[in-house]
Amino acid sequence: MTEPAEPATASPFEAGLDEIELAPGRILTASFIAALVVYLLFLLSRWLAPGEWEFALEVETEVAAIEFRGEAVTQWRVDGAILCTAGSVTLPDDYRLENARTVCGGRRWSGWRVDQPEQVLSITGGSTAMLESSNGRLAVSLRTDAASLGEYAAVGAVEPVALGDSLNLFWDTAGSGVSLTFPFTGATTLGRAVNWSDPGLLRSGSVSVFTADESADRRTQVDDAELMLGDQVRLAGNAEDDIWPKGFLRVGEEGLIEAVAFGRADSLSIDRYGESGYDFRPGFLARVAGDPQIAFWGSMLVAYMTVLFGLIPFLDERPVARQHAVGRAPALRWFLRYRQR
Amino acid sequence: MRILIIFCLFLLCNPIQAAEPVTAELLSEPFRESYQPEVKVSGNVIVGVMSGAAQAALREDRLGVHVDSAMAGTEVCVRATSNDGIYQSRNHYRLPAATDQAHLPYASGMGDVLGGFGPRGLAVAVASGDCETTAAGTFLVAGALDEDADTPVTIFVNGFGATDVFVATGDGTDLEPCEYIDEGRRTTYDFYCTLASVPAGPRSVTIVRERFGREQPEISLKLIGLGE
Repeated sequence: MTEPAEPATASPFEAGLDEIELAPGRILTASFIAALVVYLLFLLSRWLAPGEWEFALEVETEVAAIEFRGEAVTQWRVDGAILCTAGSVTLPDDYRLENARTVCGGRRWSGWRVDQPEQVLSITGGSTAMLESSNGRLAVSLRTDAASLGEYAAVGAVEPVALGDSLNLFWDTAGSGVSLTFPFTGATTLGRAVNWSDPGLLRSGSVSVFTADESADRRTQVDDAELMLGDQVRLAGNAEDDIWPKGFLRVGEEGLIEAVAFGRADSLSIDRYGESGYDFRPGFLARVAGDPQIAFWGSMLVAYMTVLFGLIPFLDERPVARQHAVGRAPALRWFLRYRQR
Repeated sequence: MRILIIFCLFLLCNPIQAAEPVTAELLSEPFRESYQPEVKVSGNVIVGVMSGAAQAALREDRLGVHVDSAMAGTEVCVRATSNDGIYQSRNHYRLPAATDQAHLPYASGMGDVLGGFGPRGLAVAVASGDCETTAAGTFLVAGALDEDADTPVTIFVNGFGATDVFVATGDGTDLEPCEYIDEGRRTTYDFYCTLASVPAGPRSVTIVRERFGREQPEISLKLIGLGE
């Protein structure tokens, strides 16, 4: 009678494996699905959330409008301008224009021309400016709902004079060698909706969108678009957080207004002739690709998935498969040997 | 005595109703309104003459005007224009006999669109004449039925590039500045002028526009307020 064969002695690896309580397959599956769902919800929330982007505009235009914001006073150098003031603003009589009505328009305007360099206009927040350049002439209108829109001074000629609520400025730009730069902080509209009565239009330009997050290099371009002749583009600020676009306008003797503006916003409004207008914002793929948080948590998810998939062979009930899996995992093998000691 | 009691019961069962507004005759068939992205900007400087409640009245089909004896039986054109120019309607009516309030039926099929406009997003103008002739100089203030007669009136103006717009009443010497609309799109109008109230009798109003100081042609209009 043959004696029953003794059971084979378990190898140290198998003994170690039996001591480990591996997670059941369904827990593994559930955690896999949970991680995926959480990440998808995170993706959705980032997509739906009103994201903030850094918009950069570079435009050539014949018309521009600015709404000055913030507490800071904006200073413009206005050498060579004809000043048309309404109300009781008075500059020295030496600089008064006799033909003010012809130059400035209506009866309510007084005209002045100061032939001195370093004429400075200090514009207070809350004022608005409209600029139009056509036929070799640049016209700027400044308005405010307050009593005064700021001060005017000409170094060595005119002491600072408080201005009223309305001021028009004119330059003959063609062939004059004039070069004007007007910085600003505030909402800005470049171009004008095309209509039959107004020739002033946006000529061309481009808009770029950058990430507004604190990414490693601070700014990563995520999208861009070309602007067409006749477009009107508006870069508004964020009144709640008091964040306003910044930029500058430059006018040379060629007469065109070159505008550069930067602003943080959710979107940028573009009105195009024949269309209802749209808010330009990065598309889904651009937003996902440009969002460092999505990239970070996406890579974490991939790492987590890799670990989970790595554990699948250990859940196999066949000892050979589990042993094989341990054989492919040097770290686990080392861990089991350590426990054996 | 019995007859007297029956008469009293009859009166109790039929409380005296407020005078119902007389309804104007809608001549446009079908009702003409459009919602289209292809914006067409018309040449009208005056885009709206209305009270603050007119926008809601349009949506609720409670648009009302005061009809004086001079306007009784005449034709008017009711235009509604959104600030972005996407929504426009233009319909032709015949006014009833003189009445304190006439109902202008507004058979819009776009109630959801009308409900989506902001406070200054939709302008309504009721101009004398038919809709083919736009040179109307008389406007009936558009309001809601049963609205207070001395409610402020807003005139929506397309400045056509104007830097300043003023409104003057009476002899036209006392100019009041109008407000520039600095929010949203301004495709069809970009200024609004506010008048404290407009009497039922015709009132002359002048709109003065300036473009960088240079005066543009004045627009003179007559307004007929919401009631006595």
